[in-house]
Amino acid sequence: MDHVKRTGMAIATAVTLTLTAVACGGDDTGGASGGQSTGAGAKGGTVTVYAVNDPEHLDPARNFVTDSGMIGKLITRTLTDYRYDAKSKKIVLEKDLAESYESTPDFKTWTFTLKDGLKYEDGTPILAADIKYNVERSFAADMAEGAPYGKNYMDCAGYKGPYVGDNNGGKGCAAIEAKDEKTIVFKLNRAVPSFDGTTTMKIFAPVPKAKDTKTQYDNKPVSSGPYKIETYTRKKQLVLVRNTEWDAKTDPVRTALPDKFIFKFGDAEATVDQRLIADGAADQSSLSFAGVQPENIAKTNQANVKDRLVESTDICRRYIAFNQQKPLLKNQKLREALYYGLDRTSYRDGRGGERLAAVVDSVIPQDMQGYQPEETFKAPPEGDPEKAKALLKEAGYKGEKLTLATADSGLATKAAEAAQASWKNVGINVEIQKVPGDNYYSTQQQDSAAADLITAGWCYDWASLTTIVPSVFGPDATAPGKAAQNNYGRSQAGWDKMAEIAKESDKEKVEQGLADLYTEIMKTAPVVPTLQDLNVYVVGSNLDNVVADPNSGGLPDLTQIGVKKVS
Amino acid sequence: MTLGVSEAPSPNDGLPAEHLAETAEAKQIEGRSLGKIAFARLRRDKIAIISAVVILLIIAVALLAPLIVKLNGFPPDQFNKLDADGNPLLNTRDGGIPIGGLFGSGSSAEHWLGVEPQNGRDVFSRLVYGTRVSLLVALGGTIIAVVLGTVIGMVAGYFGGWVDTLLSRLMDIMLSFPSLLFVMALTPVIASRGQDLLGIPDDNKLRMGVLMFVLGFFGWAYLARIVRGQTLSLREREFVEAARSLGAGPGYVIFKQLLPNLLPTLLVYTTLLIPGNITAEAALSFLGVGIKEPTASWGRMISDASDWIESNPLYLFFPGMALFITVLAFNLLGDSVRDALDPRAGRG
Repeated sequence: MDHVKRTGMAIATAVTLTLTAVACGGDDTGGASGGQSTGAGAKGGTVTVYAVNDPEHLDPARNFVTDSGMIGKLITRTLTDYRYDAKSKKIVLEKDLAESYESTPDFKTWTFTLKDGLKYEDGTPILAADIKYNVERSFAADMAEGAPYGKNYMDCAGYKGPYVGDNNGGKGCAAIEAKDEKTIVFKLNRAVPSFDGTTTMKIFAPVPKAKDTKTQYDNKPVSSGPYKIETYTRKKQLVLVRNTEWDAKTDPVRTALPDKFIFKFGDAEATVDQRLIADGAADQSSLSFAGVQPENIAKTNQANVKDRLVESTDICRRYIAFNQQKPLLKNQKLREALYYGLDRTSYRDGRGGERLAAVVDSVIPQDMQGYQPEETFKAPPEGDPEKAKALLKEAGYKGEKLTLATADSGLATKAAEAAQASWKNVGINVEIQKVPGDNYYSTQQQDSAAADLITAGWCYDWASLTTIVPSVFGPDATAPGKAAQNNYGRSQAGWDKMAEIAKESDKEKVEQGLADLYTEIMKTAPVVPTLQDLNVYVVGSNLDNVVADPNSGGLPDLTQIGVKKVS
Repeated sequence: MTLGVSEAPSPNDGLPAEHLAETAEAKQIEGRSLGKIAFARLRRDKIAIISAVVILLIIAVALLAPLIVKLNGFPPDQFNKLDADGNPLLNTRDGGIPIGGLFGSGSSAEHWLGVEPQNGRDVFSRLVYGTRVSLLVALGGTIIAVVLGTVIGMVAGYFGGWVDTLLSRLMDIMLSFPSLLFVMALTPVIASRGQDLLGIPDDNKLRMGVLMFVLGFFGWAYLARIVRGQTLSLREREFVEAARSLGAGPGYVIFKQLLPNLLPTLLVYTTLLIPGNITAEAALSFLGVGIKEPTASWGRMISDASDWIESNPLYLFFPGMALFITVLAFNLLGDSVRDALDPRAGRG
């Protein structure tokens, strides 16, 4: 059950299964080092973080969700990483463990060189071979929760991970080569011009082979970052303390001001809201991963709360997919009627109103390169009931019942009810099917169990349309004719064009091609884009430099945070 | 409990018939059955009358829901954004709380009991329609429980021996079940199995059926125990012996001799089961295993409203009151019926 963040499972759960929300990026100035935003806060102190759910996976080979990604950022470092610069409001790609990197002109071979003096928490040096080892671990069947890009991109087809047999004669994945202690080379099976965005994924963090405890590694990953795990009681509490072997000079991503982080799991969002709004002595250095709940939004206008607000947006987009495997929804006119019939302002109010969500017209974020305003249907946010009714007539719809699947959380259900009411208003009969959040997406991914109308959310993995369009609308790489895992509408539009674009190695052409293709695909109304989440956090009065990181699902950025007064 | 007779009953109809045999009105009274006497007692019981009127009103509301909702003109599932003058009903910048009205409920001449936060549905209309769900599920569950309880209790009591032992242990097992937990776990499973195995769509008809079934299934054991006890004592009575010695079979004895004598007991426990089932249905809806959106139900209204208690307390108050009044009315009526039917209560 699992609201990784306020708005709950939809997006967060999606992330668990398939996508990430850990990465993204706005500005691919890959290489800009320094420019580190130093918070005004003092060094030291303890920050308490409330989270509804245990992060589940801290093992970098498996860590692929917004909240665990944020915690993981404090413990493990990756080859590159994104830093959100609050002043310029840009997401900057930084070299984290890597001193430098380069690729061949065909973007198929990438070479990374590590910085000097990098050490684990036990003082042993971080080696290139350790990064190779962790990428290999992500091939293992036991580690399937992690980012799929190792399996997808590395040119070592058929490799099953380091735990199977003799690990390919001890050579592992031959496409990854640790040339010496500090140089690692990746040979890819395709051109990936934005591979330096890929290496922000946690699977590109180092794991020392000698300390690997396989699935147990989740409980105590060896720290390469500024904090190490002191104690960790699952579903209860995680305490991070300073890793003295970490050297701030090598790290452009983290300021790491507090001495200690305490994560408390399991308190209900509304309870935490009350505590943070009250700002009692015990909670002045506290914050929550869950944003303010709708019923408490009005309280954020109070004088003593107003100046402790952090508001942000994120890179995720919600939509409702129309499952074209269902005979009824093969009818484009019906899909268009659903598109026009949905009152997205009601839908937004179901998710908490204007402060907590905003209506969008595309699955591609507005500020991303390749975004084009929706101009095919031009449906107003309130919907167009007249047009929807006319289209229903053309479609020959006779009141058949359609099921709308939603995760079983308060906000998700309220939004689904809003969709149901607005469709009923134009004469479409919709029945809500609530599915427990922890297996919502896996249910919808099975052809036999999927509903007719599927609420979903998507966060791109890094700022490239290659992590949006093929994922949401594309085919599955493994089985011909099958839709990709997250192609909930089972739309087949544009697959041939997508295959052509995948062969292209010019980055601009790829992005432009996918942007145009997206517009083409949307003409078939495979989904209706609905909302982007906004986040409102109330934070303790003693916290300093609290910024919400749009790249991590809008969570408060713990890498930049500090406390005003160290008691 | 003994209110009905505490006001010094007149001797002629306050006491059971056999005591009246010697009085002057004996002839007149002679033909009166226990039912008639009980009814007469009930009629003099003010609390019983008030409860009955309230219950009849609630039933009328449930039956006439579509007509009543026409009075204010807002269907229960309709989202309302604007009032008649075109002003917004909800403040969507503040999480969707209703604008104005008593205690922030958004109540007005149009929306008598206010509107729901976030979606603007009319609270009055939803309350009226919620009555249907509550009563239907509670009555359905009660009927199942009473039928099962009567049959099993009578079989156990009449046949005795290993049948009794077996059925009594079954009752013990059922009574020791943590039924609410079990129902919570079972309801979604039954609903989804119904769809997978039998192809019954998981809609509200199925959900209501499932709710009735689980309430009945976990409610019969208590009644069965009482029926068994009564049957045990009844079957040893002379008129049963007489019938049996004349060659009457079990069917005749059970239906013609035992059942009529069990009716008062059944009536009392039925009236007392109903409020329990209404509460149980509300609890299940509150916990999210009741009927599906958007159909209104009191339990879910209470669950939704509990989040908003600080900004909009009336939203919680109305469904809570409706539930409270209904359950209280059934409970009081049940008590009165018991008092009226129990000869000993008259002497208390």
